[in-house]
Amino acid sequence: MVRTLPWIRDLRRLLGTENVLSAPSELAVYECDGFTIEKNRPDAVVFPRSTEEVAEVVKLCNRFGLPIVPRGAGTSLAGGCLPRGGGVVVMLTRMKRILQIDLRNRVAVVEAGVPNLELSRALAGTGYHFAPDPSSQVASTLGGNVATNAGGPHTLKYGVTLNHVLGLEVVTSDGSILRLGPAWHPGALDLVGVLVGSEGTLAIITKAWLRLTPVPAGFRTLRAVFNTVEDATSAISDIIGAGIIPAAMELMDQGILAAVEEAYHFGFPLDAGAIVVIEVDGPEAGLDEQQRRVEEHCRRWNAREVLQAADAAQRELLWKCRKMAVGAVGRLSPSYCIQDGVVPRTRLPHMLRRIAEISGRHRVRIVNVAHAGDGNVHPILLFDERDAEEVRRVLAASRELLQECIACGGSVTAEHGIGVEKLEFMPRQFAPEDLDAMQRLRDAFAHAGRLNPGKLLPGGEGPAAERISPRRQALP
Amino acid sequence: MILPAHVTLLPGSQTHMPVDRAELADLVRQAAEAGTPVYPLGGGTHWGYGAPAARAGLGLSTGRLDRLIDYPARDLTITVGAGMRVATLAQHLASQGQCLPVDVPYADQATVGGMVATGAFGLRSHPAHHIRDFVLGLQAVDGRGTLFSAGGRVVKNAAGYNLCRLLIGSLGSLGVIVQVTLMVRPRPETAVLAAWTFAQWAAAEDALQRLHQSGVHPAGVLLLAGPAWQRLPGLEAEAAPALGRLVALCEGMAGEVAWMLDRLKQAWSGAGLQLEGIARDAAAWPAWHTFVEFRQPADLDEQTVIIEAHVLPSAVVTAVLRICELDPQASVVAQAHEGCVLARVAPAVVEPLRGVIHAAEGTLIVAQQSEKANLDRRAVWGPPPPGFAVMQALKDRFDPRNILNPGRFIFP
Repeated sequence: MVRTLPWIRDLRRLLGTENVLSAPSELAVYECDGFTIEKNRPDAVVFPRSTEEVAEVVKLCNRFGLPIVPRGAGTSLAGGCLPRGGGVVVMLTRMKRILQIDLRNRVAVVEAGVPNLELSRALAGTGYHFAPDPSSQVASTLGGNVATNAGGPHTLKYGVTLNHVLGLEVVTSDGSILRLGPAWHPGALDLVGVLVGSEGTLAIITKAWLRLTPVPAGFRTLRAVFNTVEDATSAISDIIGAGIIPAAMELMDQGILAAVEEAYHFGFPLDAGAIVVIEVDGPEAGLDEQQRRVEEHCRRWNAREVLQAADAAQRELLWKCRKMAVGAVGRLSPSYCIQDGVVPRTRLPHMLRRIAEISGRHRVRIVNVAHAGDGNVHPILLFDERDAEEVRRVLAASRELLQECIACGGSVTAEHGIGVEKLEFMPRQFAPEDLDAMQRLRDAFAHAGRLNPGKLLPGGEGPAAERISPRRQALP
Repeated sequence: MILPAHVTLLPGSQTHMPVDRAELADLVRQAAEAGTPVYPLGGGTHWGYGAPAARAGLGLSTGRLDRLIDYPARDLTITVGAGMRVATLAQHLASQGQCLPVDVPYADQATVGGMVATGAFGLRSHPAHHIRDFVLGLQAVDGRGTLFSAGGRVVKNAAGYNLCRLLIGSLGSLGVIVQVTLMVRPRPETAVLAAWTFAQWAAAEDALQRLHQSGVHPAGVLLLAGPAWQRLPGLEAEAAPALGRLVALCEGMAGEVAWMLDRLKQAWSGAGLQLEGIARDAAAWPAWHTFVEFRQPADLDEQTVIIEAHVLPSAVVTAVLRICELDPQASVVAQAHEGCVLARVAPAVVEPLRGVIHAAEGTLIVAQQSEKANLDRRAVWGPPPPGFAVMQALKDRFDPRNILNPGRFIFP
């Protein structure tokens, strides 16, 4: 008989045997997230059901010197949940209660494991919604959205997750429970603002007070068809430059349109250079005028046509096409890698030209979706992972794309996070003094224990595993 | 003149106005070596924010760091030196039909760096109102004299820790802010400001609930009470005796604004409110600004301080009511939609009020006091907030000699 390790025995005693996984066969699922280049099996996976249990787990892990990796649905594309150095994966998915929906105060109180879409469903018909809608929203948890400061198509007007978090309950590195907010406190440092997007390295988020946003009285969802990507990005730049802030402006280029069309049969013209989905919203009284102005800018940039979604069903299908576009790429190629980068909006035409040029030079097929209104590009690199030489070219092209984002004054990640994937870019985007300031911030929080080690900041991650494949899974 | 109006440093203090970031960093480094307190100075409009400086030291003005560094207007971002006046920033933005929708009092004196350091939040509520939602990046000099950058110049950025949020509102206690990159917005085409009176507190709450269900999202909704608002400046209105007033600022395209005002009139007459007056177009914003200036009246004395409380929106009316009960001379401007209450009250009622607000799970600070009032750190900020141990650990790492604004913010 195999002797049970003392800390496994203690975890079982604490949480119940059924809430602790430690058999190698059970652990395989947790050896990576949506970033599959690096894999490492954790030593155990636990499923706490309350903040108090999370706190006890942290204390126990600290006693045994075990690294702790918090995890939601595991949809991260940057390796934020990779158990580097093993340790205990703390699953928040059983903490999935929506504790309160308070419409008068426009706040929802949720446990960390509630999927983003569950909250939207619970709010249906109330006239309110939770604005951040990452494409992973079917699966990804609100705790994970907070930990990675998730974005989505509607951040252009409504902001990212950070702008929608009023308060947090967290377990800190020494196992204490901290409740921050939801009332704003001018006589305090903004720890909530610091914890959002900290990728589980400072504390484990167990509960959140989220701001609810009124559902706009009306929408106009348009799709503008352009002959070239250049025209499309120029029109986008002009719309923003003219002082119009649509709720969303999403670009799909010719390459991805083919896949989307094959998957969803929307009726997109396959000879178009790019399609931009533009949504304006607000009181009915202003919508026709907004739509007219948007159309004018599109036409000035030679839009072949600008069509309005005929009804709610068509709007829904259009958004489904956009949000599921990445998933449709599987039809084009055996493997693919979706990148995340951001440039100042006006640099978007330049950036897309550079992407095409990099694609040609490295002989890697690249198709594009983009949260274009934000300057947030998601080039998708297509390849066959069985072809080692092609894989090397994909990695080189990927690096060059991100380097170009930095050169344009942008950032190597707009919404996916650093995780382990982009550690190497931190010293390129930030000066040593900037990284040192970040390290001091981390030290102040994580003075005890080992919370999600080897993530977000370079140094301390140990020898990098050999990166053999840039493949990333599509979202479910 | 280096020392702004309103600011007095203790005898034995010096002042400097460095020409650039490097000189500023040098001065902080030297001060750290000597253990000399450093008081970062912008326009001096918030010298009465926080506890008074208790030690002589070095007043460090950002006055010469006032350059426009980069304004790619079509990106809706702007990067400026921390010493730029808020009014100058507004002029640059207006020249491109843009604005920063965060109101600050005394904009002709206040600086962008000061606005960030004090966590300015204005009185608007829609779509966002706090400076934290507009700062994309900044540069600061920490308490060791090291210059560092945080964030970037793009509107969406998930790389690394959010050091911007750490510094915003930290009152210069972790670093002297020297440069700021802001996200800006298109200037609304037009606006209308309208005021209604109410005769019962219940009517005010009823009106706010109706607003909430009306589908109208004004740029700002204020609840006013007290002697300061016997007459509303800038409004064509007769002085009417009333318990209090609700004021709404609607912004947008002409059609939207007209629609919002119509809906509001319906909703609030249904709650029994009386429409008192309307200021339209170019007249609306100056009228709004009189409420912004309330945060910092020049005439504060030892008898009056301004408190700032944050409560749930549903608790605003009750909070205002309790303030008026505890101090019948109190004047109040409450940002009803966000749950922020500003009031001019007697220093003696600060502690009782804090008890009331804390019981409602809110927070309360003294947001402005004259030197004569001289409330100390504990009286200004209240008891240490949750997470104070982490905050102190941050302070120790960013300002190990405790030279940055010592004793003025929450740290001893």
